Amino acid sequence: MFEGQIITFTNTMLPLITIFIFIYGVALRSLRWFMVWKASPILGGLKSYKGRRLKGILNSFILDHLPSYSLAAKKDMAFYIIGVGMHIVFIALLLSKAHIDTMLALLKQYIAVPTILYVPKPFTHILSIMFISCLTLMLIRRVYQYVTDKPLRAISSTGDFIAVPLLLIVGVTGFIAALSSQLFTDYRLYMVASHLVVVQVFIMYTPFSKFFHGITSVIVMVLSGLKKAALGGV
Amino acid sequence: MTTENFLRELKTSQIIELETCVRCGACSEVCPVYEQDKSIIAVPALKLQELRKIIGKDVSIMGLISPASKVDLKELRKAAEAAYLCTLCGRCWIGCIIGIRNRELREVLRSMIYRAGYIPKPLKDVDELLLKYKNPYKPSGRLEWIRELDFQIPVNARGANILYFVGCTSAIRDPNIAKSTAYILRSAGENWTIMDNEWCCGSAWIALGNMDAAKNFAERNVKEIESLNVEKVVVSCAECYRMFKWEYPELNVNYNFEVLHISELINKYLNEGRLKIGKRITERITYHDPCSLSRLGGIINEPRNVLRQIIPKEVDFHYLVEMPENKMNTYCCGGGAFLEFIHPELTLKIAEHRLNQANRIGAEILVSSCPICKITFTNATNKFNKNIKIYDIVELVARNISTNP
Repeated sequence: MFEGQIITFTNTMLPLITIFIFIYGVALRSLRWFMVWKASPILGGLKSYKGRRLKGILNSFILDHLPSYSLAAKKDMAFYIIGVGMHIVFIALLLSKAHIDTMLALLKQYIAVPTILYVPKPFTHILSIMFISCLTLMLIRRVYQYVTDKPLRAISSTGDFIAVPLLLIVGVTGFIAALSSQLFTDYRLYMVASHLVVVQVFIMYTPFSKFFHGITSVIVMVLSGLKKAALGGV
Repeated sequence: MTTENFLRELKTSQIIELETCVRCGACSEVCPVYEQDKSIIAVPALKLQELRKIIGKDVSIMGLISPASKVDLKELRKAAEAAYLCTLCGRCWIGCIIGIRNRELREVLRSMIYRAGYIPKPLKDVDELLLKYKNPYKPSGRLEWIRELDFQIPVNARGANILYFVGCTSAIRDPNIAKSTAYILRSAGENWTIMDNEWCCGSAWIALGNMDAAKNFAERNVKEIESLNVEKVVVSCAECYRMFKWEYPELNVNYNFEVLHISELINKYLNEGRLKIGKRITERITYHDPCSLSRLGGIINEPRNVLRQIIPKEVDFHYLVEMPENKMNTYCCGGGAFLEFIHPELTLKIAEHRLNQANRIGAEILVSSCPICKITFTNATNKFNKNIKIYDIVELVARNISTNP
């Protein structure tokens, strides 16, 4: 009975609340863009972008993320690799079978927890460990720079100290949920449910936080790639 | 003041960029000003944060309801020092993992500060000079360099193939660049001319933050140039090149002529045989890419092709050496966007860093293709007793072309 309530809550009610808050947040953000659109309808001189556009965009998504010895993060290569690595692992984890199955099930029918039936492969565990390690290192870097009065102290906002730990909790609960299929099977439902709850808190928080860069950075990378293409830098 | 007035320079794409910054601090790793100054207010991402704070209330639901601006003037005054502690070199854009065009956002911030009247004191003089004399340096003497030449220059000749747009810095602060360019054009047998009523290209206005004036100057220059019915406009200044090629279209100022940097033209002349190199230089040369020409202008290979033709061909790898930070990733000279007017010591420190890079690779000559870079490096060389010669590319070419091409 109690288990049934958990499933109903995490897979039926909570997703509805999550979707509502997410859409509300995205609408608020879009409104801000609309306001500026009103003030200036010209989109950054797009008409002057005449170079090899596709190559510019691809570079922006791939090559520009590779460490460059002559420039980007040349003095902080570790951070650069960890940061980019964390994003790659995050995307890989999102595309893992457990997540795809859960999302498909949520779309098809509300009451279903397919992850309970799914046994993750060891590779998924390795990815989870990498993700948690990268995030921990990023958090340590921010805290260290904050304490030692380095640039991150000046630019960090309260949100930065909420966002990274929240994502870390998402990673840790996910890892435990995955492990529970093999190690502590009796508590599996609670593990998976806690991960689902944290994930939905993360989704709700996204439009109001730096997590939103997951959406906007695509636009920014396209624009930046177009500009580099126009300049002939690709 | 209405919101629209304050926010009119801010584009939708820019507000998205503002919201995309995740405050990772990668920009501070590559910013020459922060690297040399180490002051927290120099961190590029901090300036984005400030802009966000300043416009926060305007770009909200309240802003939609009321047209009166809620721009936080107190925050704007506070941001002024940080906004002008920057050379607008654009390295933060290249250093940003996402590719946020921080430099353009800084221009927006400067335009708001300018409109509120909070620009730093040393720049108020520049503002006055620009308003009164249409250049940021001095009341008159824009054409004095012509009198020092031993040949005649066609002035305001209609229907010429090329118009040489001299630029304020070449004409006033380093006329040797203007003279060398004139000599090259003459040696190539070009049908060319100059204008006697040139105004600043507008880059000085953008650096100050007066976008309206930049647009007015751009429109006026284009009108005057088009009245001469020339095919091409050649510039010897990286700032002028960036303005004509990239900023004028952004300011919605369109023109019907082609814009070239002098290095592109020299490269063409050398390839066509219209210019021939007499004696070759046997000293080690390194080329410094001016930010406005390479990263922000797109001219990277042409100056190198020119230099390859004035050094011994067989062992060009020995005579033309690259500094570690080059091309799109070039390091700033420190003289851009009037930083030298506000923080002269910092400008020299940035230039010294670049000169040290040149020294480390054993360069005996540092060549640039921007008068501001040349002046800054020359000042730093004198101040720090560096054993390196500084030239603009046109000076080096003019010195070494054969008199009978």
